[in-house]
Amino acid sequence: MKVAEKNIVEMLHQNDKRVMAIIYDQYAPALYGVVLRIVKTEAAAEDVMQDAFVKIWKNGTKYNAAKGTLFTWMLNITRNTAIDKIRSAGFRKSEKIQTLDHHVYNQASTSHNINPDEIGVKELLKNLDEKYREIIDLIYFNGFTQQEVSEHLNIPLGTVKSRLRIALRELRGIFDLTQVVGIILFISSIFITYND
Amino acid sequence: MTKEEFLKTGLCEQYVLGLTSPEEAELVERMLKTYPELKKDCMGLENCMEKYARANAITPPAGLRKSVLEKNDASDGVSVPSRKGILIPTWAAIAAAASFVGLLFFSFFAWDGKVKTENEMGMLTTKFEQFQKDCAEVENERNIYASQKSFLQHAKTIHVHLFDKNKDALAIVFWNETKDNAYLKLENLPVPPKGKTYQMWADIDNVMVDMGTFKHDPKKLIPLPYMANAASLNITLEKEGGSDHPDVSQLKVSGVI
Repeated sequence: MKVAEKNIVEMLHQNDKRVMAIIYDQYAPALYGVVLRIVKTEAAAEDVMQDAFVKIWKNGTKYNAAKGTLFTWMLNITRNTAIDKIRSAGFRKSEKIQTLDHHVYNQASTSHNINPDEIGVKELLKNLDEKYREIIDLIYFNGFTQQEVSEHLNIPLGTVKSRLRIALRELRGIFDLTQVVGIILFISSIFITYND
Repeated sequence: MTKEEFLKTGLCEQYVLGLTSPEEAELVERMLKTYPELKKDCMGLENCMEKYARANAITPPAGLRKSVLEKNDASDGVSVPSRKGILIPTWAAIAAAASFVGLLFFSFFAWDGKVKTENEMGMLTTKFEQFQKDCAEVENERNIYASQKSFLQHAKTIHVHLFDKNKDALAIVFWNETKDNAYLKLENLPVPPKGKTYQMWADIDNVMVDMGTFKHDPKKLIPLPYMANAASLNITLEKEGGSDHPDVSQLKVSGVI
């Protein structure tokens, strides 16, 4: 059963160590998806996940909901751990920018699975303009700074910033659309049941 | 800073992606505290990025859960199990809660419409401003190309081929005394080694006069200063930033006007 974010935060604040298993069960696939894309290899991703979970645990009492959601807080810890990993291990930039198709999705056929529940969302995400998606992905899944994106795509930093702003708003529009579709389906199912 | 000015900075989006500096993060947190509607907007973006991460989630290897929790147990954290434990609601409570959440959800949608429209408007404004900037850039480039085309087609524009030791033409200078103007086009001139740059010189009355360094860009026409009475044009390889006098041993190409 899914435990509410509020309860998870309460357990973190109370130093209740059982919360880590709950966090793992509810958030690990989303966090692991980001980590594996940044560090590229399964072994490095596992190290990062272990280190990140220790940091989440040790800093759990400091989490402040007024500053952002629990997921964003945990993701920032995890992403920073992953970025530290690739920088400390002397990963070359050229390795960082290789596409998911070459690395992760190939590996996915062996030991990983893309979350099947999200296939509908993935279809909708194809509506996101490529120039916006690549900026989000370079930052989110490759650990790039805005300056690095600017250099990598050879576009001015100001354009990166305005595209990033538009990208997130567009993305939110897409997710809002999925919610509306979900509600319509839900209401339809109620009517169909009632009429039967 | 007003709410509108803050929204235009895009700091909210950068904050959500963990891209802000500590000072910027402090500003964002102050603004979110002052304006609850901004906090709502920012949290909306955070939820959106959580959904994006979930849409791209990958199931970790089976053994990872055990190793993560074991490493966590071995860390120095203090474990004090909560006496309250986790509250598991009954099915009746779940049904009641679901109905209540459903009602809240619909109310939220009705109220949220206005905020979303405002956000949409803000986004369209940003898009439009970016589009205007792009148009201005394209217009500027078009003007440059029109001016270059007119120069190249001018009757008095001559082509000065610059040859290397093997008599291969590695660059062309378009030279026009009536227009008092010149352009350089690189053909096969190799990229300069690191720490070095190419520098152009005009031979005027047997004295090499500096025409400046230039960036190695074979795709573009590189503007050059016009030098009256130049007998020949020469390119040498110099240290970064250029030299006051040419290093003749590093003469790469030259051409007679």
